[in-house]
Amino acid sequence: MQTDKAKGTILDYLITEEDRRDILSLLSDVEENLFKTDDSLKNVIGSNARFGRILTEFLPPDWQSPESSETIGSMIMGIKNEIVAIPTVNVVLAIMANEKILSMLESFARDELGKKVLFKIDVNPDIIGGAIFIIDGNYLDFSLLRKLNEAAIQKRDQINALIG
Amino acid sequence: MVELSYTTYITLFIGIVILCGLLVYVTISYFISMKSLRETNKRREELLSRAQNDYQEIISAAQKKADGIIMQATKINQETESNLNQAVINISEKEEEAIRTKSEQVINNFENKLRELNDNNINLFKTTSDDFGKFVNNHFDEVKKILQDQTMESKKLAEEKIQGEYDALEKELAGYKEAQIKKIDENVYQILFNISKIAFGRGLNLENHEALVNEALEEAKKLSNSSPVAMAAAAEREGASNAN
Repeated sequence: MQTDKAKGTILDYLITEEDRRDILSLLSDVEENLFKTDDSLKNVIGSNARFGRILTEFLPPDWQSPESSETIGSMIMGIKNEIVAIPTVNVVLAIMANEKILSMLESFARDELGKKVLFKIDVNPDIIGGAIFIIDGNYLDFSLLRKLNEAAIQKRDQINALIG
Repeated sequence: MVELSYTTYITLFIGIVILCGLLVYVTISYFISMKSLRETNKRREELLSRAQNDYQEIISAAQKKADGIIMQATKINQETESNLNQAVINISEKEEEAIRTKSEQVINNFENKLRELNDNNINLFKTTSDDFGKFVNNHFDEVKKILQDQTMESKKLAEEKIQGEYDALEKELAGYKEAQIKKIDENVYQILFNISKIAFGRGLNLENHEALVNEALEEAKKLSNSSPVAMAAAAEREGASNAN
């Protein structure tokens, strides 16, 4: 997800599991190319359209000079450890999550869970609408399908009368 | 010219004499041999002629004997055949007579038995008929009552059977109705789901979806407010498992 909004750490830019995979891949590539004297490091960062620019904002201004390599290396290692430790919350949606939905999810995690989480989002049109959360095996169904089923159970007799 | 000695002349003379003697001997021997050969040939022809006559006689005698045997055999054969035919004719006549006699006896016996059986049956029928008539006359009221009772019984049985069938049918219908209601009951969710899916699938736009997700998050918030520690702890456990 790209945003111009200024954030505290690079972790603030991560919302989904996909973001985690993407940034970890980028950080690994940076580590591999950190001590190379050619333009490899610059190319690696430049090739990641999503997190390349964001990463440079958090690197020292002279990140391209060889003297900064060790500092950047230890910094990246710390970031990677933090990213790996972020917990996951599984979410099922009826459609692909857009920026607004991702923002809502992020706010929910920050305000209600009080800590950083990443959302693993699966799409299942059968739930019709709403969302299902699976946290540590707890199934929290807030989908439209569940509501319809509940309504159907409550109004079963009336529906049977209508059908029959 | 060579002059020969006396001895030589003598020797030649003796030689010539011996040669002449040998010539005479050979000539005489030749004539004797020819004569002997001629006699031998004559004798051989005589013997051959005699042997031929003997052969003819033997053949003729054998032919005569064979003719005699054949004639005798034919005669015996004709006699035997004639005797055999006569014997067969005699036996056939006897057998025919015996069969005819036996058949007549059997037919007569059968006719007698049939007549006897017929008479018995007629008597039996007459007796039975009379007995039945007497029985009916004597037990008319009783029979009437039995028949009435049986009719009533049959009617009752029929009614019971009809009622049983009716009950079974009613029960079956009730079961069928219940099964159908159950089936509808089970399918109603699926029907509703399909209807909703069609209706909402077409009707829900992006804003609706966003609103529904927001609504879901609001509900989740309410839940987390009721047990925020549990929700956070659950998220924490997820994080720990990821870090591992």
